[in-house]
Amino acid sequence: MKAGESELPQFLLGIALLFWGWVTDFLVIGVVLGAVAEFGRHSPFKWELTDKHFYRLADLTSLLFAGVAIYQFNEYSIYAIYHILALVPVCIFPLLVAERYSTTGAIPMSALFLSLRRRVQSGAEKERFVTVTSPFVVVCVLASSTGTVDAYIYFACALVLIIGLMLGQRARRYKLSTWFVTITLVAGVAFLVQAGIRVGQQQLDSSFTYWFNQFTWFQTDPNRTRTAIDSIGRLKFSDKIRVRVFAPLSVPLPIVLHEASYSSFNLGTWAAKDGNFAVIDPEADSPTWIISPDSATGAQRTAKIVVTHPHDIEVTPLPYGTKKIYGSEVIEVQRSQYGTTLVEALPGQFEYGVSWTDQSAATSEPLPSDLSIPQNYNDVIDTISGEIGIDKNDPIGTVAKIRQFFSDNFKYTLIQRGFYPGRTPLSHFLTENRQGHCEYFATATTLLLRRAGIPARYAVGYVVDEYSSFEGAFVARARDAHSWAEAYVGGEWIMVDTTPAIWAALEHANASNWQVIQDMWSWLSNRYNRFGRTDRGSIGDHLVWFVPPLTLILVWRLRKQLRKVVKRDPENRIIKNLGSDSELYTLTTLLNEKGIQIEPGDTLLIFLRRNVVANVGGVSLQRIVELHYRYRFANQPLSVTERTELRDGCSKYCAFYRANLNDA
Amino acid sequence: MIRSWILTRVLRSFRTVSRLSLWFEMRFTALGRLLCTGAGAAAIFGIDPNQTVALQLAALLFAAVTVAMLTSIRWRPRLEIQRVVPDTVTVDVQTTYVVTIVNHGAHAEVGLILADCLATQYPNADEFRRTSRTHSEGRTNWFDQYVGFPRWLLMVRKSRGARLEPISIPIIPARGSVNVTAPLRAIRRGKLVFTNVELRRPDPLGLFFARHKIEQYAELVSLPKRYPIPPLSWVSERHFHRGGLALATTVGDSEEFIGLREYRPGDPLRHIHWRSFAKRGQPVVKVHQDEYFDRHALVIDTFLGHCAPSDFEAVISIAASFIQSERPSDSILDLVFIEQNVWRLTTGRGLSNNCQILLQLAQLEATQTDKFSDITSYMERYLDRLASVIMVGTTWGLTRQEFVNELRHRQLRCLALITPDDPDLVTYPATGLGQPNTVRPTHIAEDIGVITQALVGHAT
Repeated sequence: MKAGESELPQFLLGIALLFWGWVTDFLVIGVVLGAVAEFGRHSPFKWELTDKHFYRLADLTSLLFAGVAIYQFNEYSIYAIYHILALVPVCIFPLLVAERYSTTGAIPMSALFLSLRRRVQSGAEKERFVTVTSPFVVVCVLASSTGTVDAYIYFACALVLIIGLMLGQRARRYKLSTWFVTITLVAGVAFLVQAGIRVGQQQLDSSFTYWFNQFTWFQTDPNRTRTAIDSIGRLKFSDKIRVRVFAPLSVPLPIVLHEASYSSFNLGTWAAKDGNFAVIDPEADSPTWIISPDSATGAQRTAKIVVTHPHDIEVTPLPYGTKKIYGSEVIEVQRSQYGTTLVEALPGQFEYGVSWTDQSAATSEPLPSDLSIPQNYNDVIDTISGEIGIDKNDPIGTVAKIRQFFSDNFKYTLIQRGFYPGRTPLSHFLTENRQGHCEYFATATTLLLRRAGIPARYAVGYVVDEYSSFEGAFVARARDAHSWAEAYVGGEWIMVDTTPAIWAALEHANASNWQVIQDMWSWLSNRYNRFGRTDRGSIGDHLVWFVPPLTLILVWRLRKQLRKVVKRDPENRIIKNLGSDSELYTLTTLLNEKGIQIEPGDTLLIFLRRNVVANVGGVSLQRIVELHYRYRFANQPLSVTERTELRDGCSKYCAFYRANLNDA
Repeated sequence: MIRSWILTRVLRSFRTVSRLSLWFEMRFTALGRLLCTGAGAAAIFGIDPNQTVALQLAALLFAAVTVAMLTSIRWRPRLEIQRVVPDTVTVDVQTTYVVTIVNHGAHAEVGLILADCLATQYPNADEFRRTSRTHSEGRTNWFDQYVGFPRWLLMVRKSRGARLEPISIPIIPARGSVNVTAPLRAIRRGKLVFTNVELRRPDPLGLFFARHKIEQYAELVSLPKRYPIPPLSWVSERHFHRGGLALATTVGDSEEFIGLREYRPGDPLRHIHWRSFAKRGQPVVKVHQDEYFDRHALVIDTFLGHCAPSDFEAVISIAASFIQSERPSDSILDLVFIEQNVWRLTTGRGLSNNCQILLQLAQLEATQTDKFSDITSYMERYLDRLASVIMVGTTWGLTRQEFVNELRHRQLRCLALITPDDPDLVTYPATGLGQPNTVRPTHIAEDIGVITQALVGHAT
């Protein structure tokens, strides 16, 4: 990573920081940081920083980064990574300052890597230095990509900065003209590559958006939804829990949660034409939003719903017949004439209460687009209408006939086997294949209803019929996402779901074996998020949860240390432990206490010979030292007699010197 | 069985990762590596074009790196290389060697990089398993310890024997040559094998190197590290040695005739003075002037046991230090060790010199089976010719203790040194009583100094 910082063009770093500040709306910070960085290059004042200073600065950088990461994740959930990326130049700026303002002019590698730091400190590895200026320029350019700037302007600016970076490193064996030609070639290739990537990305986006959303993140667009009607192969839906409904067990199942309705269909996409949203004002005395005026019809039901919002404003699932929404986390509520409800709340998981009655869906009047049929489907819809025997004067009868038609002739499947040249997938579904998933059924039903003169819409949402005792709630998984038709009959919108009822069972049968683990993780994640939002007041209670894992870690650490001792060479262990209780040490300790210290380099024998008489009470010093050495180091046990001899001999010597030294 | 299979696969993946990483490190310049990393990061952050325009940067960096690589595809310079390496180097001692590069081309070569390559031996599963986790990774984090990749890398680096940094070559004029002095610092003892030399040429952008490899084999021996230790100041106790013609040519005994005496059983027939025998009717033998000399033995206990390889390296260093230490000119030193069999190499008094012994020592390997009893039985055969024995090893035990007791019993000077890698085990020097002295692998010179001083004290 060590690039020749000194060869970087003048002011390149400052320009990079300025560019970053400009596009990320941190212009003032960018200007200040740029000025500080550039001044450091020309400043005559330098600090003599030691390794310790560098370590502290690197630690500060890590702390800054961790703090920014925690804050951003709390604020923006998964999308925080882009906000963090935007702030990386600020986080690593202390390192740049250290490099620019220090006499060393570089950062020790050990400051950047903890494991290397330990090795360098212990002398196992030699210190190496790196400059962070060039990486910092690249980081600035990368961080700038998160800003609000046109892609082509960004490309041009990035090109200039990267060329500046390469200019300092160009190989001197080539002429400047060769370098210039190569750079031009790079710019041309880069432009083509980025254009290719954009086109490819758009293609990819149009082909796989639906599939991708199923796997990664779900966001229902209130204005359009792309169906999987032209998709080939098996549709895969994850088992991820997306909605939790905390309602009494007595609530009638399934609970249909409506998300959005659409009126115009073309090329596999449903769109909500003129789907204007109106803001609903909350009640004056409480955070409650009235969705539709209260009426006495139907049983009143209430539930608490928990969903995840990646953004501030999202389409929110509501039961049909919702009268009001309430909850302190709801900031604003908007609703369109299609019955689609947008709720504004902080991104992440949020909770709201709903009150509903068992009655119809939306109460809005139908729009002209609710009767339109795309040109390319006219023929097939006419054919099928004739087959069903639709009577335009009997809407209720027509609805029943359509239901019966699909029930009698169609099957539910998630697999579409191939392309149908010269025919739309929906035509193939209606005329030949006669099997498909809910989007086929809902789309076909909507178009058939319209042919009968009944205003109809395509609706999406969830069908909830699974109760999780683990969660203590009804749960809707990704695979419970469903679509159906809405028909305007008798002055109200009714739900017409022609998908064979077996669909839920089939989806359930395809559940992953890992679902339990996934549910567990989902529950933990949910608890964590709820803690982050609502339970902060009782942190003390929640800290208890940290005790078991911390205890486990402690035990694990202790166990590891114990194991280290056991792992030692058994012979060494014997040498280490054997004889450490020799009584001769009592004598040496006694002498030490009396101020007779062993000189450096003295052996025990020399020390004793110099300071202790050779014989006390018939016991030879030579003999007890010899026994002591054997006991201590020889790795062979003394016999019982010898051990007693050592003990008694030492006792005699100790007694002798206690008496004599005290007298002295 | 399964663990072994998994370990083999893991080691294979280590090898792949290591090769890729080496390729990345060798072929890209510092800036090239930075831009590659930037391209990867930009590609990751640019996955969602609705959030960032990082794909633009990824495309730019990718294009730069690709163009740099394309301009480096073909490079056939007319260069010739000659490398001159010393016969021996010493572990951890900085030395140099010379590489001569001759340019046969019509244009000067500018800005080239020279990278010398040493033969690499990748450790197999058995070797990898033998080096336990604690031996080389005590200071790395737990993940690295568990996976073992740093340990594996360390073994690979050790197998190369030295780390050779790329060197910038000055301008080589057309049809001219330059000499480049390359630094060399061996990190292990034994044979170092140079396989080929690489010349690298940067591309116009300074991101990627074109490579030209030239086969150039050479080898040298890295001698063990030696420490300055004081001469062994034991009182010279010359032992009587029977001289003779056979010995005279090898250890310098003379055939100086000093008199006659009566035959004693066991005297060789060739010493019979036939004329006196005939005159007296009783066998009479010639008495020669006997030579006296000190003969010391340096016994290396090659059994490693559970000790760390670094402990064994310390043992070799101690032995090498003794071999190279100052000795009386008329003394002989026998180096005794066991590999498959017991070996005895003799130095001093016109026999092989220290350097030859050090060359042997440089390639001595530790053994995993304890064959010390073979050494003791071998030594017993010629103990009566020895004045002293120095014993160096990593472990201690009953067999060794008995051997030392036997030496003491025969009134031989004995110094036993062991090198446990634990400062707690360093005890008072235990000279004179045949007990092992511990020498810390990190303080060899210091500890041996203390021990030899103590020896002097004990002798006086």
